Amino acid sequence: MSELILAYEASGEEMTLNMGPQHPSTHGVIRFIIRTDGEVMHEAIPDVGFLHRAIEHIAEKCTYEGFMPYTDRVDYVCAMPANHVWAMAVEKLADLEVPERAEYLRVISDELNRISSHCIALGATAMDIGAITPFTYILREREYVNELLEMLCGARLTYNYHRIGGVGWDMPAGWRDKVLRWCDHFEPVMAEFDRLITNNELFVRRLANLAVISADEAMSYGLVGPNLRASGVDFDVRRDVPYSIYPKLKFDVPVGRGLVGSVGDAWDRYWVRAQEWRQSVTMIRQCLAQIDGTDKEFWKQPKKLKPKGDAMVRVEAARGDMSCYVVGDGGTNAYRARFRTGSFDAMGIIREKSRGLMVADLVALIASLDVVAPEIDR
Amino acid sequence: MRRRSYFGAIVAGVRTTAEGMAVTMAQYFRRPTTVQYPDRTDVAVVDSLPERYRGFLEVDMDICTACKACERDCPINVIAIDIEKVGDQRVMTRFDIDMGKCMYCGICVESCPIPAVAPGDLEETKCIRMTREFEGATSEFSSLTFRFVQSGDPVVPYKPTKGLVPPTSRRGLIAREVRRTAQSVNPVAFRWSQAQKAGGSLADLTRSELVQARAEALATQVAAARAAADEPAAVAQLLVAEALARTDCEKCGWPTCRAYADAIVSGADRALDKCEPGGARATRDTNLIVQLRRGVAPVDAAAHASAATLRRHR
Amino acid sequence: MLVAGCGAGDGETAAIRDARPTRLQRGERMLVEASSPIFDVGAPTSVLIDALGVTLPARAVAAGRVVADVDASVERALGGRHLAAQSTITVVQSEQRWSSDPRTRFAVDLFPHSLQHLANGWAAHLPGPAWLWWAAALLMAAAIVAGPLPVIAGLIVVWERKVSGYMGSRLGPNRVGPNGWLQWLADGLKLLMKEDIIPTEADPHLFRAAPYLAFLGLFLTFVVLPFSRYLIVSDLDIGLLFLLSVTPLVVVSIIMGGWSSNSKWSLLGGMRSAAQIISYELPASVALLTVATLAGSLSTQSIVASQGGWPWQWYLFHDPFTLVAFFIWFGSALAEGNRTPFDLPEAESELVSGYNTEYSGFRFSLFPLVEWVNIAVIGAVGTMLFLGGWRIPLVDAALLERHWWIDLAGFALFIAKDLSIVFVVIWIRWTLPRFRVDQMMNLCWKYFIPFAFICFVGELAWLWLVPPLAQTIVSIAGFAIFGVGFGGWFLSRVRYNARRYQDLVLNDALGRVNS
Repeated sequence: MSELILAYEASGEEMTLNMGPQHPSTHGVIRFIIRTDGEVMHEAIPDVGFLHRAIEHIAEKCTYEGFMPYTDRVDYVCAMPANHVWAMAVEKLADLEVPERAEYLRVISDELNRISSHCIALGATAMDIGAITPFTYILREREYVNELLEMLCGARLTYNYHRIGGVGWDMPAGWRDKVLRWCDHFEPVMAEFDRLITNNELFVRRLANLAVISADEAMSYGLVGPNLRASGVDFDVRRDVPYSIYPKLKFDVPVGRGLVGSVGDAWDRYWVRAQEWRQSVTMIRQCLAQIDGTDKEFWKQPKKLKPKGDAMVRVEAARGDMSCYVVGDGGTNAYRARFRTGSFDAMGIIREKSRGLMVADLVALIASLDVVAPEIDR
Repeated sequence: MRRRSYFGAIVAGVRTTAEGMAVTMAQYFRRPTTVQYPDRTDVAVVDSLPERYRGFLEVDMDICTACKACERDCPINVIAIDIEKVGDQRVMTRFDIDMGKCMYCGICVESCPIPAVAPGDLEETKCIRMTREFEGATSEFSSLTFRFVQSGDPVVPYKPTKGLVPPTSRRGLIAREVRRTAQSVNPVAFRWSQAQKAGGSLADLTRSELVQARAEALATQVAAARAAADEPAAVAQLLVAEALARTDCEKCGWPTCRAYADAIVSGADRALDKCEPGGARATRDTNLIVQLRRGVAPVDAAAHASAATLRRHR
Repeated sequence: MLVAGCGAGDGETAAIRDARPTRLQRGERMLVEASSPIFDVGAPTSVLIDALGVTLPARAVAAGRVVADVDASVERALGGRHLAAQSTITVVQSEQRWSSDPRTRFAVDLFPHSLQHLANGWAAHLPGPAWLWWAAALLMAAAIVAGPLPVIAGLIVVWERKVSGYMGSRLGPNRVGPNGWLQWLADGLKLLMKEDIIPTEADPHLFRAAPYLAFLGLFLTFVVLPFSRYLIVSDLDIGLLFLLSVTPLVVVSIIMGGWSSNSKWSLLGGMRSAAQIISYELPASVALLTVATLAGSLSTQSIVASQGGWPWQWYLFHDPFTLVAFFIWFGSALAEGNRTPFDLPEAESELVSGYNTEYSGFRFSLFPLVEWVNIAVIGAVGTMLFLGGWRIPLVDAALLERHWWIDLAGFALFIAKDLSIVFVVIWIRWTLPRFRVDQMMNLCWKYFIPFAFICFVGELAWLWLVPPLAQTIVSIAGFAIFGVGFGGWFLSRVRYNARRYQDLVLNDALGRVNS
């Protein structure tokens, strides 16, 4: 990379900016080499790998159960789905059954976590655009989610809540009511957040028509989740590759419509996430209504876990399709595990989309793709 | 695609800005969410946390069966348990949890087979369990190693009765206590090991805090030796073990190290700096032990020993 | 200087067409112009200010022009006090007298109580070399102005942090001093004790000088700010012009800082700042010109004096053009002060910290100091130009003369208005996102500048075409519609937002904290 900088500098026509890995708005330790002509970028070249922790290798060294807390670190902003994907992969591998109550609890926790993750994504977008209050404003709401999850599983960020064969804890006493109270509280907050920043003319102008990703591009670059849906591709793992109890829930899949610019622009990516908030809240309400009819059992702990074969599962995490492929060779450890995460692919499109943007737009582009450094590098 | 006209943009800009400003202004009529940790809260934050909060680990040694399930299942090996046999009895001589390394996943708690009921809790807990204690800020990593078995005080494992859920103390009390001990004992122990490892340079050997740590560590051993039935022999043994070089090189004029130590203890040899292979370190520790044996306080013994060492070896 | 008192009414032509300056100060010369060549050049001449009964020595320099020397007699006639009188002027040449039109009077306006005037007095009356007293007086004035600057900046910083805290559902600083109000001292001390680092590759001289230059540009603005009737360093005739010419000194310093740091982030910040401040000088100046047209003067005290105490007498509500001019000026002031939404030069999410990225310690502390004092200056300029300055309703000049505490009340009112503008500036910062460079330029050249010129031309037309009574009606209507109507709508929105939100306490144990 340093040779790259020197080569660009030597040409004399361009300025090379080294953005990161300690830049305030690269969302973790990511680095960009930016070739600019003044404010206008010719290209931003992402340089990843600063947060690589060999999670997949650790999976081979830990027992299946012992790896669960490590999955929290795959994407620490949205750890629950990573728990979920690992639990589901091992369950499929070992052909285990999961109690229905556990499935509900998994979905509730996933959706709560999705909301808190989108809080960060939307707040950080606003902050990268320069508005700081929306960030602190929405972090207050995230704090409530953290408190709820803390009551459920005892941790605020790295939950280690899902277990192979179920979940670690049932709902604590009074938790259900608290979640419902929070849902009532959160609905007007979402509308207010829209008034505060989403519809703000300045904000819209910063994001509308910025880095428009067409549906074809999005698919060929392998974008997933909200980034893909913002480009007009109507695909959601929860609906199209159903898992857990999602088939029993009624929800819409918000798709980018280009309300203020073109389909697939940065504002659409932002807006899709804001809509997913609403869908998640309705899903949580449905789950809480349905969970009463289930058995008390929430964890069928497997006696002996030495599966053989391979399994591949996918879930919809906050950053999109998170898949896990795991191979077992009859031992207590996985022979091989592989995680596929959304942010890594989102990084791939930045170089293509950064051409001709301004330096300030790059920050908005990164924020709108909602990349999270640990998820890129794992 | 929405395009705003020239004037439409002005109107939209003014309107949405005013809307946004109304939202921020409305914040003034809400209660701030800040919790003014740690001093301006009605209750200690530790007590306000939910029951399942995963803070420091603690072990109720009274009901620990020494099954080592937690040690085995910990993904990052933060738990270390030593089991020895004293006569016919299996005892735990060590139960350490390195909280500095722990990732608070709670897998050890799940693998623990001993359920327990703690007062003040709604849910059943275990022999090893996570508490709501979380304040672990420290300048010494060593003070984050929680030792549930103190050295020299081995613990006999508990024999569970079928069907009985043993009562245990309120969660958090043990962790608080162990943390306090760890804060006071571990740094001394750590410094002592540093003092032993310190390089051969005179400056290292006479650095006051290291000498003092060494003196404090030796003081307990000297006290034990003085309490022994054969006091001179015990002290001589200590001298050989802790101070002298144990090479039997005869450079001091005595045939063995033990002979030199006996001579020091009996007063036959008053020179405390004759151990040549031991060098400055031997001079310092011999001085320390002799001083401590006379009943001198560790602080003064340390000062005296440093001075003597510097006099001889500068 | 604008023409005051054009005497042409009812087909009758007044003899004296114009007199300049309309504000008299000792040592100045007054130029009186006749509408036709009537004076006898060389004949003994004098100029009479009718309202004061003062005769000034004069000479006719041309058939149509008389120059009078303003001497101490004006001051004496005023008894050392201040008077903003409207007066006709009479030129006396031997037997002949020519008067100006009695319906359009000249303002005879003397401000003997500025700090500069005090210095003048000392220099003239006290024993010893005059320059020594001059220097002493200057130092004193400088100390009076410069002393409170760090305090002002500090308090605004704390205030801003508190406002931002509450708007973000937090508390802001509340530990140092009473409820956190001394936080700025702690921060300042910390910055003072930090190492002053100059990057190896930086240009050391420019790098060192830049912060002081910023400070200088800001400091100079305080010369013409009229905090009360009497509290002003110097009431310059070209007050507004002076203000416009010294504030851009800050941009020089920012470019210097950005360039000399030899860091690309700093350089980008400096360049953005140059483009921004220079562009926004234009709409700001034209918006100020609109007000100057209205007041007929560039002197800051005159502008304040020509407004009234009631809100509808402020220039803000004078007519639609001044209302728009106010918003144009306010936006431009935000841009010149590098405040959100125009904080591009130090956009921390883009440029790390912009032009001051490489600064540390005391040198760094000067930049924020300038930034926050600048907010106070923005507030003061806005108050003086659009919000009636220190004018108190129902208090006229004579009453102001009689009681010193009324002047103090005026000062307090000025500060209150100043602080409300400061609050709005802070409020905007904690609400709005930031512009992009091209959007910032767009706004300036496509929106602000055309509108500023429309305002200026419209203002002239307004003064020319709309009769005084209609002007008053429009002012009151403007206040009612904009001030009361828009304000009421806005408050209802605030109330709506405050009501829609349900306070939620999930953690019962901590529920009562902060209550």
